[in-house]
Amino acid sequence: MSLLQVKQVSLSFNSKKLFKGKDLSKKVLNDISFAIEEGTCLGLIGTSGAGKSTLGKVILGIQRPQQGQVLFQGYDIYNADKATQQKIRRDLQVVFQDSYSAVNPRMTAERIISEPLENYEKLTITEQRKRIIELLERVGLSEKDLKKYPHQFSGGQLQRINIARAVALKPKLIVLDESVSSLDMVTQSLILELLNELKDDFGLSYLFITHDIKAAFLISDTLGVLEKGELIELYDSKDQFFSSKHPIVKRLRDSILAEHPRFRTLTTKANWVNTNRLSKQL
Amino acid sequence: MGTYVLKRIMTIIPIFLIATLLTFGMINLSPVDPAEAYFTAAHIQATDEMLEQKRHEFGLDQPLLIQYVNALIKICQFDFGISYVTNKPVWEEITSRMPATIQLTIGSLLIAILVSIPIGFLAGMKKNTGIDHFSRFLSFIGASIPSFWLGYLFIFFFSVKLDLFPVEGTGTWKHLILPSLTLAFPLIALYTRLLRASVLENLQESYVLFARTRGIHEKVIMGKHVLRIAISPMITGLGMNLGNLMTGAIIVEAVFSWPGFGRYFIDAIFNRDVPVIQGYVLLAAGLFLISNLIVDLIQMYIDPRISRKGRQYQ
Repeated sequence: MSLLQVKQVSLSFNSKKLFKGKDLSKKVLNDISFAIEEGTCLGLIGTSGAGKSTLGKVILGIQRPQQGQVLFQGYDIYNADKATQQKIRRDLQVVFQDSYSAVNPRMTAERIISEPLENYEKLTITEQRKRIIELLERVGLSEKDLKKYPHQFSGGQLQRINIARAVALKPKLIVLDESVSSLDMVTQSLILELLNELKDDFGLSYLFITHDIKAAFLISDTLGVLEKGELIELYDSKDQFFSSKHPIVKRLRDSILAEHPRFRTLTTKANWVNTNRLSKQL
Repeated sequence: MGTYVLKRIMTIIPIFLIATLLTFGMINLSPVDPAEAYFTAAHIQATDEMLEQKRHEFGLDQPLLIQYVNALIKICQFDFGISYVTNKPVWEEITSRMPATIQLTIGSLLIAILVSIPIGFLAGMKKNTGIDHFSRFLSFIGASIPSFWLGYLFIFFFSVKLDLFPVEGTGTWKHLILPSLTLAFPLIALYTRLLRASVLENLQESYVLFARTRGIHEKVIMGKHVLRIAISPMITGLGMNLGNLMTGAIIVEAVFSWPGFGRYFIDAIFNRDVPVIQGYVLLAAGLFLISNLIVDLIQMYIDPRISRKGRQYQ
């Protein structure tokens, strides 16, 4: 049994204009199905507005889809009873893009990380403090950061705290929703490295949602491409992404700049216009 | 944090000095001649000689700067002069009325807090439900009813019809309830709205939504993430009203014959009792400064960002 199964999920946001009565409903997710196996990372690549974050919310159980099912460890997360939901949420944690808005600005790092522990595990104060320091050190921070407030950290450091909070309960799956996108290149690769290490240490699985193909490559085992609410292709290995003939995948591939400007070609733009036209026809 | 508190307390001194300077200047600018006012209050037809002598006694013939410095020195010793009407020291008069005013202030603030926090919080949490509509109705009524009418309504209903509380006067806790309630009513209206709005705002914060996805118990989310932060604008409001209440609630005191500051100072204004007016203005300035200081200190405790200067990498 897969750890997470998404079955034929469809979602549209309805909004009717008051007077014209015109139906303005927008299909955000259309018949999406995939699965994540234990200990693997699925990278979901998509451009802005492809429905990536909405899909993340559906999986996290905060945006009920109109059709389809989300099964986590075999439980339907939208139809589970309270106790099961609580159990699911323990094993399903999340790290968001904006590290600052994901934490309460009035809590110290210690209290931010202790929150899930207090919520699920009854530890003594010394045990808890020990766990928190361990976690902080694991993500590359130190004991002296315990009493600091979010605004005293940099974006990368705070994202490390968010990661520490997410792994504090040793969950099964972590949804990384654009978790590294707002960080600079160096911090990004450091965080990705950390995520890779944690995955092996704790036996985690990731759903890595991003628009950054390079980042997805560094961390994912399998890849999916999301475009306009549809999961257009799903690859078991990264090589398949390169050999794919799908026009949108081609376009995405072309958008990766070569390391050296000399190797960058001018065809990229022409290609983009071309595929854009194609995607409209689809 | 300690330095912040110290700094904050130090800012009070220049502000208070400016307040004394303004009070002194205004009283000197006003057409009221203290010597004349003194004799009028004592019902004495004064001759020019007597006026001259009184002016010398008050030190009004000295240069303004010296008068100001003398006044300042006296203020520092809590000497606000002697009332023209009662011939008693103003400070003594103020302190004798202090307990009644403080009682009323604490009573009304307590009622306002105890009623508005649960209602405002529930109204924000359960938007557009019965409790929300009730809170809206309550705020509407509270903001619209004038306190003199409300006071008499309470007297009529609770004292005359039900005979639960005494009509007026002081003494037991029963005497305190009706005037406190009357004073608290508009405050309840205000705070309920304030709290409801800020609870709604805080519920929109991403970390509240994220806390839910992480499976944090609803009780913890509401207490730690919503209420604790949502209450902060209300505390600011409380501080403003604390100063107001402490300087006397004239109308309510009149309705319930409450022996607080309010009436005493109004009488002083009509009698042109200069020392009392001066003492009142300075007292009000001092009370506002102190209540704002208290609010700032509480805010600092609630929101650690206030006392910590600078951003990251400290």
